[in-house]
Amino acid sequence: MNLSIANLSKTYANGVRALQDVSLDIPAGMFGLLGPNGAGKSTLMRTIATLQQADAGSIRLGDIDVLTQPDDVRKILGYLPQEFGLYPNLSAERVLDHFAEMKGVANSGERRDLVHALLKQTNLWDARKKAVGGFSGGMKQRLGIAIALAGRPRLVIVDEPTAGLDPNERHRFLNLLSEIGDDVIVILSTHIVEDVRELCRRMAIINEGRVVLQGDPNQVLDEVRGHIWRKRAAKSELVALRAALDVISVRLVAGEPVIHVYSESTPGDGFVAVEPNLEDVYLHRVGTAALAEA
Amino acid sequence: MFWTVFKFELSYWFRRPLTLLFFALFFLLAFFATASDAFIGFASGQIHRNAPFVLATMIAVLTAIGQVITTAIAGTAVLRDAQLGTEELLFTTRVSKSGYLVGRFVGAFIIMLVIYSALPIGLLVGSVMPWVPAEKMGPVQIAAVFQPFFTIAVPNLLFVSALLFAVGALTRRLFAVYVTGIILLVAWQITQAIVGQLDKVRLASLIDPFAITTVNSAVRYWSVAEKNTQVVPLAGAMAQNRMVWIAAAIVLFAVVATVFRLRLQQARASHRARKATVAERVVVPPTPAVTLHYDRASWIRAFVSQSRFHLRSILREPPYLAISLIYLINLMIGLWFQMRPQESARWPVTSLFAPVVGNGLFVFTVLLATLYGGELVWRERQIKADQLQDATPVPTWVPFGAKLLAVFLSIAILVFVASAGSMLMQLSQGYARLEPAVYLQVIVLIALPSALAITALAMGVHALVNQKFVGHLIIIAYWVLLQVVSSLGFDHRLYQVGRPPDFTYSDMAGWGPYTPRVLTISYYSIAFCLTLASLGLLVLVRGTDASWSARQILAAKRWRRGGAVATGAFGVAAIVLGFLFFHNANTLNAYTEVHAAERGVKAWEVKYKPLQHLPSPRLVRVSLRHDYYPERRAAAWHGTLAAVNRDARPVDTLFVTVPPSAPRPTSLFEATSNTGVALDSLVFDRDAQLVLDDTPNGVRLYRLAKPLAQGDTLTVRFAGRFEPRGYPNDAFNNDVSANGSFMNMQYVPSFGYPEQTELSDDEARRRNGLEPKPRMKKIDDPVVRATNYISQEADWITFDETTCTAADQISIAPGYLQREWTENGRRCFQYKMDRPILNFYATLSARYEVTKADYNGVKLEIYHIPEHAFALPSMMQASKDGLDYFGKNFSPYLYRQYRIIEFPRYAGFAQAFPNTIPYSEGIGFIYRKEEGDDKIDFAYFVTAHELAHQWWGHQVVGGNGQGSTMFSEGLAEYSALTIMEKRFGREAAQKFLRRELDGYLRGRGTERKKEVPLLYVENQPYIHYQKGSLAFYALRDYIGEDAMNAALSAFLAKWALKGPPYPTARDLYGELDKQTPDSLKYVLNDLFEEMTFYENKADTATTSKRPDGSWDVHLVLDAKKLKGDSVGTTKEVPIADYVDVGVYGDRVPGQKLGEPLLVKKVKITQPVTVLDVIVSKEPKKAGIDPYNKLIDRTPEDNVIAVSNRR
Repeated sequence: MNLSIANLSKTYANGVRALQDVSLDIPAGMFGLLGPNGAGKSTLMRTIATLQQADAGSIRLGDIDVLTQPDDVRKILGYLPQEFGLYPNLSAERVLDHFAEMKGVANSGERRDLVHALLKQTNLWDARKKAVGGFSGGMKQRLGIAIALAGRPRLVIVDEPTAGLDPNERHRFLNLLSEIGDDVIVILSTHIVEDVRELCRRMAIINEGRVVLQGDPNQVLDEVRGHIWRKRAAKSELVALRAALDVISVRLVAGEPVIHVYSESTPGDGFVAVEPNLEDVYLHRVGTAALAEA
Repeated sequence: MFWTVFKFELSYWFRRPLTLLFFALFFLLAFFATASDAFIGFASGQIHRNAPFVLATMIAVLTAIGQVITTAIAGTAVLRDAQLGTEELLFTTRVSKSGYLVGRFVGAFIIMLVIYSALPIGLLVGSVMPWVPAEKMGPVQIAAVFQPFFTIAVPNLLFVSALLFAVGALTRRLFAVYVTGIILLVAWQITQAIVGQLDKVRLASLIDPFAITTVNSAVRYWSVAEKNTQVVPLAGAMAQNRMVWIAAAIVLFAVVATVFRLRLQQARASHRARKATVAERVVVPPTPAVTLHYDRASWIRAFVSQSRFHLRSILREPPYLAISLIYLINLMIGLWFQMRPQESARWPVTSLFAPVVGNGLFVFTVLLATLYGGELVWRERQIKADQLQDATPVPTWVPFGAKLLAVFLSIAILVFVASAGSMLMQLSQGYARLEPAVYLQVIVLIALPSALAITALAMGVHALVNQKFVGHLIIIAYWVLLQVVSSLGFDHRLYQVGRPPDFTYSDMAGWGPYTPRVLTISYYSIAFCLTLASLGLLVLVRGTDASWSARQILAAKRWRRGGAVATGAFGVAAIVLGFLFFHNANTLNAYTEVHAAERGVKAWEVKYKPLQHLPSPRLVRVSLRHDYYPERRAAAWHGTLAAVNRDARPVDTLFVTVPPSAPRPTSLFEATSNTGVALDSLVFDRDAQLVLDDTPNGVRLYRLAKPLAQGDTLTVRFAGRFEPRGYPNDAFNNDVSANGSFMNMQYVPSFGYPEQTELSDDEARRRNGLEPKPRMKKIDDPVVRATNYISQEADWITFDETTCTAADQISIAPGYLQREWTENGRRCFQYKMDRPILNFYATLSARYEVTKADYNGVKLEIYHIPEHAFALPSMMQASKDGLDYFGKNFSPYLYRQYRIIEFPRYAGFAQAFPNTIPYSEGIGFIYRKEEGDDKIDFAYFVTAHELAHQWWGHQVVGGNGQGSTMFSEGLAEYSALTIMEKRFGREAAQKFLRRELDGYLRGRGTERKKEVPLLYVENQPYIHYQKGSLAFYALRDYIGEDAMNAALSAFLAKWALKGPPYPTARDLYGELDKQTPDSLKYVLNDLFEEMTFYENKADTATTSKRPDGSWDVHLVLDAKKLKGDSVGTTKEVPIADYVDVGVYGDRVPGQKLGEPLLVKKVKITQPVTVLDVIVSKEPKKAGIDPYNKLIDRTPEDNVIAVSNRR
């Protein structure tokens, strides 16, 4: 099953153009959607998750027209929103049971078994009787993914799931995601490039409502191999360098600025060619697109 | 810092449209109160629409119910930062705690004041509108309008704002703020209930934060004139109250200032402890196979389990528990006051208690339905779980319906608990006949349908409106509208969706005719509200887009998928039931709104009044055959009337009055029609041509071929019947019921223009373009003596009646039973009077048990239902005592029987027909005699009063003018009091008189026309009953019992059974005058000819012991005498009166004041009198007019404690 998004557009009532003619092709497996804050990722996620309408365009999930058949989508959907809460006084077990029932697991015996399995799978078994209001961020996210998985979904959407988690929790969560079957479409929408690098076989970069790049991460990196240069520069040189070259990023290492630059050929003295990483590609693309707009 | 926060708060609220909305609301309310007829609750009759008292009351009440607004503004002042998440930003700036708190509070408070200032402004603007009738308004005094604002509104708002602000700041939960407001309101209600016991007025005035009770108590005895001109002074209880509550506000604020921290609300420690440390990876089993079901049956199961889910969460909420507790406390207090209305005591019968359980739930239903309905509709959005839920395949009706059911059940549980509580209270009072079936009926027919309807309404509104606060406002406004709408004349039940239907449950007749109406209304409400809920469900937001375009798309889809069917089904049911009700109320029973009915009566008067002075024959004989059909609630009658022309003019046109079926107003708000009544035939013994047939309006005009000369007799045979059709919107005609029927002579045709049909109320007449008419003819008008006030169509008639009823019932009419037989399966009784009676008779029927006694040749009989045997001994005793005393001291009893007959609680009075007393089941028969010297036996008293009417009314009856009710009702009341005092002692009598004094003083303040002295009383109950008993008792005290009885018996001897010409109050006055010595003639004048008031007070009372063991008592007594006019303005007059002075010792049983050491009449001639007396024992209390025989507005300051002189 494929998720095909064609020419999707959405402008909010206050004039913000959240999505402009977005087209994406998403097969089964992990798909990473990268973009800065305000790029339109959440709008896109919510639209696919049947929580919002679009102004124009279409989304097809296999045979289903998402925009006009939301009920059919919800039967095979698991959605973990960016910001969410739960019934704070209830136990994890009770909450999961409540949502599982709403997903169609009508038989109480089956539901109980499912809830237990999911809690064990997400490592919340020992906390199952504890009130959800006292959960840490990571535990809440894991419960969220358990809820998303409760209906045996074929499409799982996770929106900014690891923002605010400590490294341990983040890894645990990503492990969980990776275990969701290969025949399920999993869309991971995030601004953390590492997450996409670790998990995703396909990716897209979105900025200011437009898709700026789409494809296989390896291919994407191949395309820029040999074009990324690094130099340790002095603070005083920065302004001149920025004017002359395509500076992707400026970082501080031990107090001294280190810049990455995109250039087809060697940009000059002190520059060393480096192995490109996804962040370079991301920053380059996002920056270029921004400059193109200006 | 303070200024920044303060200015921000002000500008925040000034920019919101909600603020303007509130201001406009209050402005319009006050404007319409002055400029229109709309709100007659506060200002009525003589009280001006812009009276300071009216504004004071309005402000006090509106600060109470305007809590929703105070919650929104003051309650959220600090909360807002928690809700919006700006706390962290704000608390890390340099803002100081005091600057923050004071700034927020003062800002919110100022806004509240601005909004409430709309009230006096609206009142002022309304009062200068050109179209307002001048007599409804007093002079426009700006000071008088703003004084109540400053003395009442400002402190009220200060306290309420401080309280809600404190709760909001300390709990950071909006829900807690709402609930605090509710608790405050109900606590206020409880205070008001406590004030029902007179002695606690002071305390109740102090503990009322809204000053509503305080205002009411302050003006309790104000006359109409005073209410119109005076402001409630900031003195006495009012000043103390204001100080108490301002201090409370300051304390609250201090508490907040101390406890509040510029920090985030910490999560509870226990939650912290529960944060888990998760162990490393557990063995993960393979994911089990599950089948996903999306069929209807599975969703219904999910619906049930979600209902349980939400119900459990509601039941655990502290606010729900708090509201439930308040409801139960409130209910218990309500039940308590059912048992003890105005110092009497009644048995806690289920027919009294169960309706309280059913009706008392309504306001709590509304509160719980909107609070929790709103909360649940918004729940997922508030905890941010909405996206999770909306992305599941659950159909929207499942969570919505489950929430509706959960809220409904949370309310239903309350009413079951309440019934259990009520039954416990019955048992605790020693009453064991609990009748649980009746409770269940009330729950299922009345309480639960209303709860379901209101819940559905609240949820539908919240779903539609999609703004929680506005949703609450709409529901509360709807409830307020329901209260008000009836008083505006819109009393058709189809508008009043959700309100529990009216009903009266009688121990005699059970549910009577109410069941079909109750069912129709209840199901109509449910269907209507479920339709609204379905519509709400159609547009309920799902997903993250709350715009109307998104909701429209959702609605279209839901409509196609069953929304149409559901909405349609409920809608059709509502329409069908609505039509059924409409058919019954409007078609079969000619529902008419009261103002339209008034117009009909006006038209009737305009048409027929010109015929008022046509000569009419006077009735001399009534021979009646009456048939009751209790199982059908129907009756039929036929008979013969004989009438004589006593007028010098011959009668050629007969004005015949028959019972009308057209709508007539029954009060200022309601009108009823009597569509079931019909006149079948009217046949004269001579040639009479029907020239005008207006039977629906009760009029028929006949032209006699040969005029009836003076002295000639005319007979007419008539037949009529009563068959009720369906049910009406307002009051049923319950004259006939399955068990308990009571029909009087109004169904029998009569001759002459019935003046009593005309509109009597001044305002009603003006509204309809008629001149106000004098309430009654002046006492000296010669025409007064021509007819008696009981019946204008007859003097004394001969009477006989045969009445037949169902085989298992007994039927009674005035007269001695001649014979009893059975015919056609029906039981018949023939009664005949052996001497003439007034044209005042009634026929009763029910399945009675009869309790009999023979007393000195008089047969005493009480007809009652077996379950109501509580008060029989009191009734019997009163009858015997009365027959003894009245027979000996007034004149011999005329009849050989005295019968008391129970009738259903549809009316709550007792009435004296000749030797026949119908007596409501709701009074007397369930009264309970309590032990104690100061307990009044009401069953005894009312029986005695009605027995006394056999003299005052049935032996001597007054003319049709002023003063006649003085000697029928006034003397009946006095006579009953006399034998009660002999039987129970002076203590009980004193207690009764204090109650009468309170009733008189309060009654004056609500007078709709004008007050008059007792001699000129115009059928005003507070004068002829209350002032009457006070006056006659006081007179007896001055002239002595023998002199009194001599006057009364002389009056009877001269006027009994005479007429025309009939006696007037002047004749009684003349007899009393003969028995009054010259020195006391002023008393007679003060009590009867004028309106006299005293302001007596014991200023100082000191004592010292004399060497011989006796005691010197030094008294300083104030006395002031005033005379009043018709609106209650008083002026001081010189005093030269004999007034009791009393000195009392230790308490003894039977004497509330103490052992009387010295009681004598002293002539008071100065405003201040100094007296020195000697008594034998130590004095404890002393005072002037200690028994309150004189009318005094502050009776409690007449007696003070005696202190030792140093």
